[in-house]
Amino acid sequence: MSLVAGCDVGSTTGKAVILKDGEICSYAIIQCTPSPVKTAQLVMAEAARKAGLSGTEQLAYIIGTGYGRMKIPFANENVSEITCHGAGAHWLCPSVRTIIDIGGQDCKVISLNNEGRVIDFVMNDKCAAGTGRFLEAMTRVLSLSLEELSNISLEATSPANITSQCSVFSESEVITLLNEGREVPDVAAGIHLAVANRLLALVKKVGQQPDLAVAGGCAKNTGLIKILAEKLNMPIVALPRDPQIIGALGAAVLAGQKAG
Amino acid sequence: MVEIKPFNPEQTQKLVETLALAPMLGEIVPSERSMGVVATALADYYRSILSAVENGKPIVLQQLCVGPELFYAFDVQPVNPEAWAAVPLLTNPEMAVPYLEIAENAGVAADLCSVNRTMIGELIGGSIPRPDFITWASQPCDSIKVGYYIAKYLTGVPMFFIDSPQWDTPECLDYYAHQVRQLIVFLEEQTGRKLDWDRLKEVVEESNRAVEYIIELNELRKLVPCPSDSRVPTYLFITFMTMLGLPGATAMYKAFRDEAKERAQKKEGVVPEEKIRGIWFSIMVPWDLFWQNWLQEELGHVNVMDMFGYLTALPIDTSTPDKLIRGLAERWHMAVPMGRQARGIVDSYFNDFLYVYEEWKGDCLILAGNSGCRWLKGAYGMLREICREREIPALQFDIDIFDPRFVSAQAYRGQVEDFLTTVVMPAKAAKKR
Repeated sequence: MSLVAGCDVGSTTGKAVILKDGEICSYAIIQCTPSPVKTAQLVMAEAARKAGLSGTEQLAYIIGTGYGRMKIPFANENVSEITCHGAGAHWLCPSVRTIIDIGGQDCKVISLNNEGRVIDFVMNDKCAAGTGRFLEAMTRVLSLSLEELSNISLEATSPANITSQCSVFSESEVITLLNEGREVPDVAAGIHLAVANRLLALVKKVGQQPDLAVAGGCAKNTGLIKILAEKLNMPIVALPRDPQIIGALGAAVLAGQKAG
Repeated sequence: MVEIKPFNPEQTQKLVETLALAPMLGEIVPSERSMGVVATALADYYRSILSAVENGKPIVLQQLCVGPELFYAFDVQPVNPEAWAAVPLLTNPEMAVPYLEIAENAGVAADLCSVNRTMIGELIGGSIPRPDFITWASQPCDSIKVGYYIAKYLTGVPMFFIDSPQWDTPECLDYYAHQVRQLIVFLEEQTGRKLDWDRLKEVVEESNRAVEYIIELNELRKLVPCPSDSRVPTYLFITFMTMLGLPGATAMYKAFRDEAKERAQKKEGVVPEEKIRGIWFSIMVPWDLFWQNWLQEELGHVNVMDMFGYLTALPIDTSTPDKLIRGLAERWHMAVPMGRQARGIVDSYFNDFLYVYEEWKGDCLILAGNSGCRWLKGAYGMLREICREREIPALQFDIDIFDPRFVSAQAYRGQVEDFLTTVVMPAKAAKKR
């Protein structure tokens, strides 16, 4: 029996995936604590518990990834989240050539070849616009949960125009739009449109190749995915597993290769 | 009207003291030998400026696309503000920050390139000598045009402007040469002296010797493994626009050439195992230039050629004054990096990159997109497409050339490291299979 794991400590959540004989055995997602070490320990303990393991000692190889990857104490090595997202998406869906990862504090677009090797990537990490943080900020203004934001935007009839250059200014714009009497669904759809436009510019930089998949927590936002697919003029492939674990899954897949 | 403080030499004196230590560092740490050589030359340059201020020698604020040769022939001290600000960044990454703030507080737009904002802040703050006159050209960018005009407005000194034509046709070069003649008239008026043609010939012949060394050095950089340090192209550029025509500059280029030649003869590279030959065909990050050491040592990445090291200058025929003037016009118009690429149609930039990529056997393109550089950033999308068609791995990231607060070192370094390890190394390995 071969047990390996990947642990992805991001800016907002920690994710861990355990593979048993090349199949997903368990996974866990938790909110980040202020300490990346603690986040890693907690999320891995949760994944191990779900797999019926007593701890990480039974894991033959562990790869860490994400922003906190250098701080994962039990990892045998760490690998960049770009490589891990590529490996995870390719493992789940070998036809994927373009991955959009919408993380908590950055977004990136990764281009893969038919072997799953990363051939290009581009990221936006100096501004929260186009990231999960942007959507979180908007939910606060609208007093909605992320799920509610997603669902309500699907009812829009005429999405509002919101700039995607700066989260802080966008918050002001949303308040102005609400004061002008715009319907909440239209504002919600406008928010998704702003994010989609931001992502579209990144996708064009690496080249839009089918199949295209979205990873990260924001991939669960159906309102955003719908608008993004319209902007891209291309269907977005639904990954057969939780899109939030793709980085950790890729790390586990790479760990499996290391463990032989 | 904004008040300009009198020049305070203290900061420059400290810089000279710091630069004077670099050769000792070079003796202890072999990888710093190049820095030691360039630091000696730069220390001399700064000393000569301090001495010019002290002795009342005329000082010209000289923009990068107006070469220094004529000024040395006139015994006028050129101060190149781009280099003036860039060199201290090698020792203190945040050196430009207070001057950027001075300029912005004086009303200069924050989206003007930080190179020009720093110059304006330094003029106002008194950390650059107040010039007696200003010379500048319309190459390479709009920020330059605005920045130098603000410098004229602030100082109120006479200004000579070279209108750079868009093309390289004989007619364009005639037009440029005509302006070089007018510049001579301007300098004669400002200094009250006639040009000594024999002295100009002497300076240009010295610059020709320097150019010969640069050509040889850049040829050696084509070797695999590359025998010359990643930072040398930046040093070449800084000194080319400030010191060309001085024996100190020639000695420095010779030292770079000798160092590379010595390694090449032993079939050695600048790093024991060269893994990636990078082409940084936009800016290097001057406030983080020493990170190139880490890239060399840890990842085996060598910047084999970049846009600023790609100096296409040729020796100038000094046999007649006409040929000499024509040669200077060609050199300033066609051979100054960035100026060369940023005029006319953008194809010149793409063609230069593709030529450099092939000739210097590059593995990838790295584009550090300066926030104030509209023309370069506008061209990046097309250049990426060109690279994609040719399967050339390419990375573009945002940065500010003088302001480390815009994107942190940590943020951009992570992208470069990820690119080299995640995209370039596997691509090279796949090619070998």
